[in-house]
Amino acid sequence: MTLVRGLAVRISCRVVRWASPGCKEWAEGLEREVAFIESDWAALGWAIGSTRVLLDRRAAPLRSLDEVPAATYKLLDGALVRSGFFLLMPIMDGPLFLHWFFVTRSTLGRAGSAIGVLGSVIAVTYMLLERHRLLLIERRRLKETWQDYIYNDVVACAHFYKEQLKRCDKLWIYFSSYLCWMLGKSLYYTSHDDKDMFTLVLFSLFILFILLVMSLVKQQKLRRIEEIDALLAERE
Amino acid sequence: MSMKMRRSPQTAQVLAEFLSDEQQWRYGYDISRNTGLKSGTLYPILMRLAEHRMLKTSWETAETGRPPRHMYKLTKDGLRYARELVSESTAQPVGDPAYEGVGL
Repeated sequence: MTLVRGLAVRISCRVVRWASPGCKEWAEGLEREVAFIESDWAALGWAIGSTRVLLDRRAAPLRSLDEVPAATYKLLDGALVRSGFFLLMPIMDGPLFLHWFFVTRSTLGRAGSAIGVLGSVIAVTYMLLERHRLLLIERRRLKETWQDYIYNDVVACAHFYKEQLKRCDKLWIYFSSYLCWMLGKSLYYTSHDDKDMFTLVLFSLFILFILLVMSLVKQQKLRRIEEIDALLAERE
Repeated sequence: MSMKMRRSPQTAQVLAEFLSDEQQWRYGYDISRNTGLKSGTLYPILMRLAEHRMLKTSWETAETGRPPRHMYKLTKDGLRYARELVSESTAQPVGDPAYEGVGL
């Protein structure tokens, strides 16, 4: 095996290893093709191109409705943990913004702090309501009747799962509060004489990152909803 | 809430390639060679087609000493969509000549 082909094989193997569960089969398909490409350089080009699969992060596809209850449990567990984590930042920053509001003398600084307080209040309220809803579901989950319902009626469970996935559309409320938070901090820092441009740039990048994550999460959930719809259609 | 299939010229190219022999299972590298698309362009298209249940995948039964290959074939829905898209893309010109309308 030449050095170039060896490199192609190594890249393909890494792609298989690092591919997300939903793309594993595709990564393996790409890897197998390397052995059938005559030219070493073409094989290397193929392997390099296959790294594109790594950008696609998706969960393992649902093969049947029987897999839905486990996926539902996973989704609810994750949402409960995330709701606690997402509460931390606004709870910590809300009082800080409030403090800045009373301390700062410039109008811009005050406006920024007020926007920050508003963002924190929205985020805390939304996440507390969301957490309350999830805890209610959690309490129902412990009851036997709910477990029967989830495991015996997979169609009903699939509809419930879909409903939970669709709730991701409502996350914009939380993320808009994040934007308030960022805007508040940016305005507050801008109002200072010694403008910290690095912090501002960092905040802007953070906003872009949040928006990117939001769109990726939404895309993944839409994909999952389509999978469930297809499985439900098959069942009917 | 539904995600739509992107109608790109590359997708039309891949579908046209499948239509050239509808019943045949195809290998990724062969499609890439015939369409001139790189693996990084081809596979996202195949993945999207499979996601929309327009493409079925299968693993080749392994021959001795050779790794099994991943194979692809259009489903009934895929064939219908392919015919529609390919006829659309052949009916529409790709782009007007740059000098059109310019008095030379």
